[in-house]
Amino acid sequence: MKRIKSHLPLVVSFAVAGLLTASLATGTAQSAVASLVQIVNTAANPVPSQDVDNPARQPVSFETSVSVSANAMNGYAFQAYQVPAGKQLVIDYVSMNSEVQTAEQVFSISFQEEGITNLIFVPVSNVASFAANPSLHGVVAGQAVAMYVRAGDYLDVGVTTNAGAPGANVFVSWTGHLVNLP
Amino acid sequence: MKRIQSPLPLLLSFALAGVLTASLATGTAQSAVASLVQIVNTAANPVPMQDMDNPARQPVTILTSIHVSANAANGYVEPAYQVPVGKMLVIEYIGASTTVIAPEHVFSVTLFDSNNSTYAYAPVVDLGTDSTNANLHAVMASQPVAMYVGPGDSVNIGVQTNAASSGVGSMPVQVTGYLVDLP
Repeated sequence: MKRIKSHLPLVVSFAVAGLLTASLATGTAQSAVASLVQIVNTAANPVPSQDVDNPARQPVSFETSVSVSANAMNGYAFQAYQVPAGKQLVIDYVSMNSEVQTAEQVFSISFQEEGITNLIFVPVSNVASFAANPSLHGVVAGQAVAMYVRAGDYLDVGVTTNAGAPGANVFVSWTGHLVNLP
Repeated sequence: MKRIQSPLPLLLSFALAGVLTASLATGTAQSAVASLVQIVNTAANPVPMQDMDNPARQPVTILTSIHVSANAANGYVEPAYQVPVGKMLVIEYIGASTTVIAPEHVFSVTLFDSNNSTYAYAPVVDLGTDSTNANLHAVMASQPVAMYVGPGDSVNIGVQTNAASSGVGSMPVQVTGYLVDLP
């Protein structure tokens, strides 16, 4: 009996250790299992949310100069933009405002994801001649678009004309935004 | 020495209890930082959400009037609007309408930021002449756009013409969009 008594504190200590270890293990197991929750907010008290992909969070804009040689039908600015790794580019709006010699007619501007057939065209309007220089006339385009370019890929910007003798040099603007990929 | 040895198991038990209690306390603190929750709302009982960046929460309307002098190719209002600190301006629409006197032609309305880093052009359409005055013709722009202007930057608005002798007396331009709070 005395022998048992002498070991009593040790036995108690193991018992306490066992209990605490069991509690700790149970706590760990409980936190690994998701608690079921029902959101009871109403339309009058909605849960505030924020779209992390809102276009305003990662806007992108560029103005690219594109030259079309004399008697050439097209001109390009190759690799005008490269989409950063881990992002998707969304182009929202493209436009241009320029002036060309009268014999030159600009038909369209184009955006292509380099190497694949992801391509959009936007029509260009040839507007009136300049009052003081009738051999010059304005060319204008503006169009809301939706185009998606993959991470790491290049964007080529092109201009298509009537292959007139003067050629053309125009500035093409575009705006869009980036979205983080998983 | 025997007296010292006898309470040793008891001391050990207290030490062990202390260590385990400390571990348990740490575990409690960790579970207070993040606990897993599964939302069980169904399609019949969806979670009502409210987008804090909804355009209607911080709408912006810029109304201005642009004058183009005789024989000038452009007229501008600089600045037309300054973006508040801590916000991003998203421009969604450009509208403009007026009458001009021949031989004046209006080509486009231009928006650009104060850094000259972002441009958006909206084409202007010539709608035809006034039946009572063939020298007067109506011009209009109505264009959805997407343009982003950063905090503290300004929005400038311009009109491009064929630089005729009539000029443009006044071309009202309306730009609409919204602000988004930046982190």
